[in-house]
Amino acid sequence: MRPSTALRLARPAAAAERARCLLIAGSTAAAGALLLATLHILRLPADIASSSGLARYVTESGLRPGVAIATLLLAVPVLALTVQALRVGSVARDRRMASLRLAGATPHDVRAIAAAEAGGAAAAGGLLAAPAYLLLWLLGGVLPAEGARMLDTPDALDAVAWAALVPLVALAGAVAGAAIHGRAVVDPLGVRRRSPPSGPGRASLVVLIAGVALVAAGIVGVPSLAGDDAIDLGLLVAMIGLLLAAFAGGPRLVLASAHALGRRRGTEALLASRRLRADPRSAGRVAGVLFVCGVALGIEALLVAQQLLFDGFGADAAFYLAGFAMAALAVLVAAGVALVTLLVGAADGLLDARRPLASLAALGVDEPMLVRVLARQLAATAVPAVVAGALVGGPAIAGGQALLASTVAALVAGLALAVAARLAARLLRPLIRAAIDPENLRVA
Amino acid sequence: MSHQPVLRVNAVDHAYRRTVALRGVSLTVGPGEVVAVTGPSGCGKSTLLHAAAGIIRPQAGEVRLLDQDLAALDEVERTKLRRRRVGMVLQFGQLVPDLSANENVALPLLLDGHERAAARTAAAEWLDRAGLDADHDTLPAELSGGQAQRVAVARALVTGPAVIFADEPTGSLDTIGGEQLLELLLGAARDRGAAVVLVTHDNVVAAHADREVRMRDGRVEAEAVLR
Repeated sequence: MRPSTALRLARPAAAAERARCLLIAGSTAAAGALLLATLHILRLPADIASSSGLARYVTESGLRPGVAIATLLLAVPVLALTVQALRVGSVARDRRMASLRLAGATPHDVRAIAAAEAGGAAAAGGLLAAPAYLLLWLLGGVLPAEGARMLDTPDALDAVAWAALVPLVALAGAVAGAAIHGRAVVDPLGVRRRSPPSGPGRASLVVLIAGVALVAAGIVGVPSLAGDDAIDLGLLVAMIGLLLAAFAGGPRLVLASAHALGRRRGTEALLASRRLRADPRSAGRVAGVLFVCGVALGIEALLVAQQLLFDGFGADAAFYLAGFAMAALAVLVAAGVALVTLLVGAADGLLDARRPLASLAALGVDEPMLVRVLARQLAATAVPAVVAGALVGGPAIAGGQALLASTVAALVAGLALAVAARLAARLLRPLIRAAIDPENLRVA
Repeated sequence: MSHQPVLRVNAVDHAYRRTVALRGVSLTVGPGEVVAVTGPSGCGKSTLLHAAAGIIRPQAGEVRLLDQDLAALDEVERTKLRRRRVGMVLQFGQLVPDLSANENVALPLLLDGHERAAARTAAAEWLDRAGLDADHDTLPAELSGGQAQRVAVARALVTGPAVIFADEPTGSLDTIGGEQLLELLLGAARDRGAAVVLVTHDNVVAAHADREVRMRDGRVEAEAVLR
């Protein structure tokens, strides 16, 4: 196959494919901008003066690593959205790839097409990371008042980092694109006879245990070592462990939630449970992000409670309150991106399941009931994850005395996400209506 | 013309998990011969066709296609053999949805590294021969079932195959449309001396073949020479 043929076949033709590429490029650009911002914060001189206009959270060397880690953590839900975008329309794309295989494309050809498709979108995202970073700087480094700025003026090293980022992002996109469509490569009829996506395996259990061990090491082990940087290193180790544990444990949490839902009475619970059990991985990634959000929320609730009840805010009230507000905003943004990811996945699931949903409608399941099924499905993914995270977060730092603050945070976050799940399901009502159109029963 | 069989299937077994689809099936097809494989739903005829075309690897037995032992070829080699010397027509065309009719027909040539202009010219010629009464730049979704199947037939013939595998090619068409498509497929194949293995559950369609192989429960139940 000539490269021109591969590029022609990789070019998004349908509107849905173009939207998918835009989502990949947009989310990659946002993640890239956050990465560039993290690198810039880490590069700041240790003795940078407070007269630079930057906030104390950035100028104080003891607080800076925390800001950098928080900025980097914000990239995680955005990357989860990228992965979801890569998987959008998988069923239709698998069918297209199988058609290509039937027309004579080899498995290598199909992988090359999938890689070119995703790699191209990711490369565009990498290129757009520079303007996205400038926008971030405008929001965090220009618009805020002197002394409240979180980002310094971009410099030549940012351009170097960006130049290195573009090929890396393109390569990562290409590898991910080829890997995600590996299943359809197997055989030209693979779409009709592919095995359903499997649940979490032993490898994910090992990662989960390793993640928990790293969290324990980060909180207890590393800080006990000598040296000023031990706490920062401990924080980093704990964060890496938390991410590993959250993403490995996410699908398990979703499966457990689906099993619990399945034991309840009623058709809605049964249908929602079955849909979650059919593919726990996509929902599991979002659950992982929301678990981390829950942990952050639990810790913040603990810190706010400690400050209010024991220490008082004193002369530094503005400093503390602004810090808590920024942390809360970051959690809110991360949870918002996770919800968008969940929504994109749910919309994609509805488009893929048009025929079975039309069959259900023919059997007498009406539209309001399907909206309620979707709401339950979304809530069963989001609510247990954020509640579990919040209940774990505070006590992991301060033990039993954090339980009250964490419980309040868990209740508030859980309630907010349950409401968000209902609203999201209502938002998808037009897609449900289109999915249950009897015309879909005629689709082969 | 060589009288070596183009296809020799010998004692092939295949199962999908616990469902046995083929039990010791044998079939030989000569050059230019049109063989109809018939039988009720689930009798294994599509599985036989997929094994013969090298799309699936049977669990036992031997398949020799165009003098090549398919078990000795890897996935890439089997794909290239299909691309260059075999035509495939399935019930719903399996056209690539975002490529035009012309691009769909040109695809096997493009994948084989042919010049784009030459591939598109060859595709246009075959679409004309197939009698596509629609713009060649039309997307599959805008074609009728009969038009889409004509595109699929043109795609199967564009590389000049020695054998064509057709799985219920008229299954999605009305009687007249089906008859016209069959005439197109079998006429073009006979003109080129290509063998055709035609899977169908329709006796009227099977009557166009030189020979009928009837299957039941994964076995060949009977064979009959029709002409």
